[in-house]
Amino acid sequence: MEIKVFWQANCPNCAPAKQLVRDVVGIMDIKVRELDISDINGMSEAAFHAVMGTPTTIVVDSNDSEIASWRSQIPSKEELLDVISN
Amino acid sequence: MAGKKNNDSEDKTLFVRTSDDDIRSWDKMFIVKSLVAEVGMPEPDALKVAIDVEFFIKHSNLKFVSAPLVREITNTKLLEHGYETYRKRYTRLGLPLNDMTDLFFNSNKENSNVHHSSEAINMTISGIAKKEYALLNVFSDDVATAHQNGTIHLHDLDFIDRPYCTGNSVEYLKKFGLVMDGRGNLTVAKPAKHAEVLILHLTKFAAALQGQFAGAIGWDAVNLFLAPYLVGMKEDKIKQLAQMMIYEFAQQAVSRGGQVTFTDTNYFWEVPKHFMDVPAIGPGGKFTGNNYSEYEEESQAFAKAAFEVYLKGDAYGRPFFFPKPDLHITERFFKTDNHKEFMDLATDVATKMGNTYFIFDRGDEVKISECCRLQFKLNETDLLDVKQPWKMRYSAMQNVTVNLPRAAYCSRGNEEVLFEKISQAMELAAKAHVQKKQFIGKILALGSSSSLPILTMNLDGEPYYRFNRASFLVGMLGLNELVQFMTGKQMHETTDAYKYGLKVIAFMRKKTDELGKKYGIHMPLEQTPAESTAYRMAKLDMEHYPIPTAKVVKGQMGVPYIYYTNSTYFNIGAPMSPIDRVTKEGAFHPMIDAGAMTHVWLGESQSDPRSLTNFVMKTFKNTQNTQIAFSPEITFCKTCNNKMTGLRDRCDKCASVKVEGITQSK
Repeated sequence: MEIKVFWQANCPNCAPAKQLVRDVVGIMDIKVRELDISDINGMSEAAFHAVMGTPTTIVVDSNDSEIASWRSQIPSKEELLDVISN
Repeated sequence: MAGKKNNDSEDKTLFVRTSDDDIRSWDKMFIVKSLVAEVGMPEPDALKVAIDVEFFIKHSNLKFVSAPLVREITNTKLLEHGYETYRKRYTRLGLPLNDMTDLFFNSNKENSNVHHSSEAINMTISGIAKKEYALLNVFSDDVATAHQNGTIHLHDLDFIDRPYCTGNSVEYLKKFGLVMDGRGNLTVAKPAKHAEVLILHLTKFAAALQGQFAGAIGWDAVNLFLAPYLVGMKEDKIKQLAQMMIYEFAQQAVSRGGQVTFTDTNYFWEVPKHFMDVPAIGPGGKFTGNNYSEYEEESQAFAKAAFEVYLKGDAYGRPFFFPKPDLHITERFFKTDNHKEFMDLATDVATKMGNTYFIFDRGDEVKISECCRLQFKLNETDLLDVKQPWKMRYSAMQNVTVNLPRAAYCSRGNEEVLFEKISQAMELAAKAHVQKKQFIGKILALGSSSSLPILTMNLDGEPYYRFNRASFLVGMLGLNELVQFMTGKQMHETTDAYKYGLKVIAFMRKKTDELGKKYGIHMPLEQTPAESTAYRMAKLDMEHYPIPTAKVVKGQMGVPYIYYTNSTYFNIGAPMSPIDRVTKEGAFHPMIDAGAMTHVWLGESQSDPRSLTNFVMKTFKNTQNTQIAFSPEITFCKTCNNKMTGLRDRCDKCASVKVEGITQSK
C-alpha cells in the first residue's frame, strides 16, 4: 500500500492535506509520496491517476491500482484511517 | 535559339540564353555584377571567379549556354576558390529536368488531400523551391541540418512564407463583409443580409485564407453564428442551407494545388456558456438586440440539418471529406434538451461515415478546433475577445516534431542522456520557431503590399493576423518506440512502460514552458499529424541507426513499409478495448495543450450508434481524453455506386473491381 498526495504551490489546502496524511500515517509502515504536480514525476503520476486538482490524496495497492481517493479535497482523519487500516 | 560557339573563328561569339527570356552576347561582367549584388562579394574576387568561368566556358566547346548553366559553373568555381559561403548564397533553387517530367506524368502520392492536376504540379514545383529556400535562408545551419538528418521535422517547409493554420470567426464576415484579397482591389461585398450570401462569403473567404496558410482553416461555432440569419425559417429551408454550405466547402477544388479548402467547422448543440451573454450580430452586420443565448433553437436546427447531410453523404453516398464537423461537448451539453437524440445522430454519422470529431471541453475550457487534432485552448486574454467574437482569430505559426526514438537510440538507454537529447532537439525546435517568426514578421511588416494581404488587412483596429498571439507548436513522434527501446516493453504491455511514456511527455511539457519563456513565444505541445513524418523519420533512422531501429520500428521490415507509431498513440495493433485505449491515451492529453486525440478504429463493424453515444458520453465523464474520432472502413463501387462496409477488392453487388476503399487515419 502507498499513499500519494498531489500538491502544488499556491494551493491553500495542500499543506494541511500533506500534514494530515503525515499525522495519520505516523509510524505505520506505509509509504507516503508527496508529489508536486508541477514537476515531471508529479505531473506524470497525476496524469496516470487522472488528477485534475489539488490537493488530491490517493491510496493505491501494490499494483498501483486505486483503493480510495480524495480529489480536490482533504480527507478526514477517520476516512483515511479507515482505508489504510483495512 | 540556343547559345552557340563558333569553333572556326578566333573571335568566338558566345550567346547566353538568360533567365528573363533574352539572348545576350557573353559578358563576364554580368557574373561579377551578380556576385557583388547577390552575395556581397568584393569586386576583385568576383572578377577572378568570373575570369575562371569564362575560361572554362570558352574552352568547353559548348553548344548551349544558359544562365542556369553559367550559375552552376560559377558555383563550382566559387568552391574551387574556397568560397563555400558565397556558393551557398549564390545557389539556384528548383528541380532537375527529370523530376519535372515525372511531375507531369506521375501523380503526387505524398498527400492524400492533393489530387493530381496541373495546379497540383504548380504547387509541388513552388514547394520544392520554397523548401530549399527555407533550409538555406530562413533557418540556421544547425536547425536545417537537424531537419535533414531527421532529429526534428519542420512541417510545411513548402509553404515557408505562410503561417501554419488558423481558427476564425464567422462574426468577422458578418460585421465587415467580404474583402477577398485583403486589399479591397477586388470586388468588395457589404455584410450579408441573407443566410445564403453569408454562407458564400464564408466558403469564399475560407478558400482565400487557404492561400495564405499552410494548413487548416477552422471556423468557430458555425451553427451558432449562423443562427440569427435563420430566424423564422422552416426546417426544409435550413436543411437546404446546411447542404449548400457543406457542398460549397466540399466541391470548391480551387485552393492551392487544386485542393478543396482544408476546413474545420465547429458545432455546439448547446449555446456554450462563454457565448450566452454575447450580443448577436444579424443580417446586414447589425446587432440584433438579443444575446446568443436566445438563438439556441435556430442553432440546433442548423446543427441537426448539417449532420443529416453528413449522414446522407454526396450524390453517391460517399462521405464528405471536408468540411470536417467538430462537435464540442461542454458540461451544458448534458443539460440541454434533446442532447441524447442529437448525439445519436452525430454517432450515426461517425459510425457510417467517420466524419464526426468529438471535442471535450470540460469545466470552463474553451477551445477552437482545426486540422487533424489541433485545438486552440483559449486563455484569459483570449477570453476577453469573446465579447467581440469577430476578434477570435487564432493561429499556429509553425509545427516542429521531435523524433523521440532517435533521442532514445542516441542515449544508449541512459535516461539522463535521453532527456538531454530531447532537450537539445526541443531547443532546436524553439530556434526554428523564432527564425520562422522573424521571417513571417518581415513579410507582414510590408503591410498591404506583402504577399499575405489578407493577414495584414485591418478592419477592426488590428491586422487580421494577430501576430503576437500566434502559437508555436512542438509535436512528438514515436513515443511508443522510445518507451520500447528504453524499457523493453511497449506502452500497452506494462504499467511501468506506460508510466515511462507519461514521464517523457511530462518532461516535454515542462521543457516547452521553459523554452517558451526563454524565447518569448507561446510554445505548447501538440500531437503531430502523421502524414509522411512517421515514415520519413523511421526511414532515416533505419538508414543511420539500423540496429536499434530494427528492434522497435513498426510495419513490414524494409523501406518503404516501416513507420513509427504516431505521437503519443499506443501501438495501433495493440489488443486493447476502445475504452482502455481512450482512457490510457487520454491520460496524455491534459499535458498536450494544443491538441490531442484518440482514434478509435471501427473497421468493418457497424456499431450501434446508441452504444457509441454511450461510449462518447462515458469518455467525457470518466476520462481525461480531449478528443476522439471513429474510423469505419467503407468501400464504394465506382461501377454501380454500391456502398459496402469494410475494405473490399470487388463489389459484392456487381462484381466490379473498380472499387474505392475509404478509411481515415487521423
